[in-house]
Amino acid sequence: MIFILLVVIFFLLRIIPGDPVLAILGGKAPLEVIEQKRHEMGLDKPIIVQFFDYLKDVFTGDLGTSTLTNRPVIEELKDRFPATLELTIFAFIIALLIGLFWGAESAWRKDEPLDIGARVYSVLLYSVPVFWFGLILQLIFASYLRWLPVGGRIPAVTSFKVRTGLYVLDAIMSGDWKGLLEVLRYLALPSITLGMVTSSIFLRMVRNNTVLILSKDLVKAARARGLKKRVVLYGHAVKNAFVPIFTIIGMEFASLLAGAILTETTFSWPGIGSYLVMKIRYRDFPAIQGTIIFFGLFIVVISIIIDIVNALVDPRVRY
Amino acid sequence: MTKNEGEVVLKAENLKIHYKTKKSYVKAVDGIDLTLRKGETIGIVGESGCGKSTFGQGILKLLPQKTKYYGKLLVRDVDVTPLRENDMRKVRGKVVGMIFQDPMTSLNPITKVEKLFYETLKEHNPGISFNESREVTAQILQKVGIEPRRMREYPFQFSGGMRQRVMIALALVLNPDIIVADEPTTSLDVIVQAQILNLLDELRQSYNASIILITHDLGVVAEMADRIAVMYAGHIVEQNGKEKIYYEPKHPYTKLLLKSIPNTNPKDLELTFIPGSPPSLVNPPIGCRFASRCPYKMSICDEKEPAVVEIDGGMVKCWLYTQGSDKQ
Amino acid sequence: MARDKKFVSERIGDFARDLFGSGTGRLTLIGSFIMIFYVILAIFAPYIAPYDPIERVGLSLEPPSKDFWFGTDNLGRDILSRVIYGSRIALSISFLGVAVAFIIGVPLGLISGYVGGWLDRVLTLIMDAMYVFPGLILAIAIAAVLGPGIVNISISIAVVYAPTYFRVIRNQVAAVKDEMYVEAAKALGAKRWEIILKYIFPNVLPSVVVVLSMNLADALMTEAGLSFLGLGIAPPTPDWGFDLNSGQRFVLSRAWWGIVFPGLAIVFAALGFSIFSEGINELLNPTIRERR
Repeated sequence: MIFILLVVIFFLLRIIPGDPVLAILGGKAPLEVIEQKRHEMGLDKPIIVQFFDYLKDVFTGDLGTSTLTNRPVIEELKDRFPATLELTIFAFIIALLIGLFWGAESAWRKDEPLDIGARVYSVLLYSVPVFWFGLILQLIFASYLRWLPVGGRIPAVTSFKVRTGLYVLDAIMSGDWKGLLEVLRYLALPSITLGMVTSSIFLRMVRNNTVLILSKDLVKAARARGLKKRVVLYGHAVKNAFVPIFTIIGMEFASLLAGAILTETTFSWPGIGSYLVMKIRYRDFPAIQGTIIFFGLFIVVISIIIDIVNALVDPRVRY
Repeated sequence: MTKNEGEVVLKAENLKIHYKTKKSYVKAVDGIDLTLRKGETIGIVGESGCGKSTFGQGILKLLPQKTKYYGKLLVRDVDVTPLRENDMRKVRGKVVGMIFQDPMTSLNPITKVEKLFYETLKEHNPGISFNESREVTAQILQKVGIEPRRMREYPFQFSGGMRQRVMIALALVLNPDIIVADEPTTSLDVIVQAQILNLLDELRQSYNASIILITHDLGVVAEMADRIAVMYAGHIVEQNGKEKIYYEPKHPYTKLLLKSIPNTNPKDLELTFIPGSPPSLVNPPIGCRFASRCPYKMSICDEKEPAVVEIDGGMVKCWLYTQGSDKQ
Repeated sequence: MARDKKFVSERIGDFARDLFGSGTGRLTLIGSFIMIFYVILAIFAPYIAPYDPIERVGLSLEPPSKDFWFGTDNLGRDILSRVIYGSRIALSISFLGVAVAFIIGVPLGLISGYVGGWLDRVLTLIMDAMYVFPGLILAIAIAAVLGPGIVNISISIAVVYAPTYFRVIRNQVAAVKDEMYVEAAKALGAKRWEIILKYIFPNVLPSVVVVLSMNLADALMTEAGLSFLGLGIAPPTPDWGFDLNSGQRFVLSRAWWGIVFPGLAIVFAALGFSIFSEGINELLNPTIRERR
């Protein structure tokens, strides 16, 4: 799977017209300079050789060197990755919480206001482009109410030591509570934006699946033993409803990443999403290629993790 | 007989259960009277849609929220018809236990068996510890014929018959007075059926509980039941001791039901069935509900609902037995 | 190996169905009204829009008023006019992109599904890899290399969605090619391409039509996303996504009109297309629905 991905990326970025060398040097550069650059970048070698070089590079972790900053792409990605990770994790948690609890309660109280509200919420939030939603939230909370900052990740002054790159974690580890508050303030809007938009899908899936399970005998039997609603709903109904949802959640992660790119751009969040956009603007092809590969690998890794967690959650898979 | 003089554990008085569908009410149970005594097994027999399952689930009030109950349903002298959910929860499991039809779908497949017992025990005995519950679980699993160490497994690892035993154990673990078994053997194959029924009977004796056995299969009640109530379209049309029902059936429906049991008697190989189908329970007919399919129909049957007649130790709801009309 | 992702619009349609219940006649009608509305906007933009969308006609960042119903942007251009003209870009790219995706994906799918063998396997593998990759990221990658322009963006979108058509068609064909009527045609001596065109294609077409209509809303959102990121149409051409990009400036100045109106245009268009496709889906593939 990964291999195919790599192949596709390789060919896509080369088949499509557009000469990276010209893009970097500009159309009016003298011929020798163009030739030299081409040689530097290894673009004058036969395509098969290029391909194997490419594979070799990827496997050794060499994603090329940025033509802009001259730093290795992988270094730059490493710098910016934690920001994206933090954003996606928080957004995911928010989406999960909303989806799970609202979905379960809606299923229990089917067709009542709570449920109808859930359905309206789902339609609306899913039809809305995530970046627009972000802008609206910015308008309301940053501009009008001034409760939260418009963008960025932290203010200039913080005292905690950066160890993992996940600022929430770092702030806690350093015991810097003021810093933690600041970090959360900056994290709030981006993660809520991405989280709420993603939650619309979860909410719908949890609700629908739980409704199906609630009509089954296993729920009646649980009630027949006198169990409380909370136990019946979450311990029995949702637990069973969740199993098929889990694989879908895994697939959703990919779109979460796509949403992250847009969210990062909206909120000037320094992650690999905004990195990619910036590199594109400067036509830094090695960096673009490297980032896309990184995204691909990231998605594959997440899929594997999801599969593992799925096995943990559903005992039937194990036996 | 001592059974007839035992204390009453359940009594339905003109009980009606109407549940709501999209636009109207289905009068699934439309006025039944039933008395269940301690240690007794009563079989409720009828075809699908006659209301027997509704009654069974109605005892525990497991029906959808918009269901209406009329009349009285006394469970150990407490009328449950007005009870709210919170109060019903105390009745469920502890006073009345229930066994469902399909053990494949009525047991949560992904929760360990020991946990299923623990949460049930904990609900009614909040202080109980996990280890204590495991001891109780081990005991009862043995009684139903399952190795106690299997409690650590998941239901999906059990076969159908075994799952049903787990279900029975769960229903009995709190020592209820009444057990409602809703088609407990329908999903099982014949040999397992016999085992499960035997088990139920043994347990009933050792726990001194009463059983309401709901089924469409007259063969199933033949062994176990003391009394049988035959239901049709929301009414109990005949009720009596087992022998009387089998050897001296009174209601035309009962007679036809008995005839339609396939048997291996070489002289009687033709399969009889009852033509027609039950009436709609949304707008039931004014007269006798079986009239349209009854071979003994009289004109009064279409006009008035038959009165209940006490006869021969039981009851019948049929114009044929009312004094003053033509008798069979 | 790749599982079926759902389109944005398919999801929206599902949601709408959850919400409004059956009565899909209603849904399709509402959806088509909205679609037609936008098409009219796009075609007749010069006649409908009050001002030239790329000219400065007022003061910067003026709130909505009698003269400028949607207010002005930071360059003094009328937002209402920009929104109306924006429909041209949005619709043309969506339609064009989807059309190209169709043209690429469907024939490939037909051939691959019918012929089978190694060709099928290789193609499927490639298409699957592309399919699994999140649409936007792929589009970004391609747009990055190609650069701006209506044609280029349409191509990006086409490449992103072609695998979907490929998959749908290929699976249908593979399923259908062993059916009786195909056997019969073969027995009658029909040539390969005849079989594909005359027998198989008409039967797989309905599912494609549904996919087509769903695609439009998706393509719309992707295009908006691309231009928001600055990868779409070059300025000063009016485009909803691009206008939202400038919208970031509006946030700080509290010029809500610059954000709300272009965004609403996107939302309604997406909703309209999705509801329409959901309705078409119901019409062509009626499912047994619960009565609500």
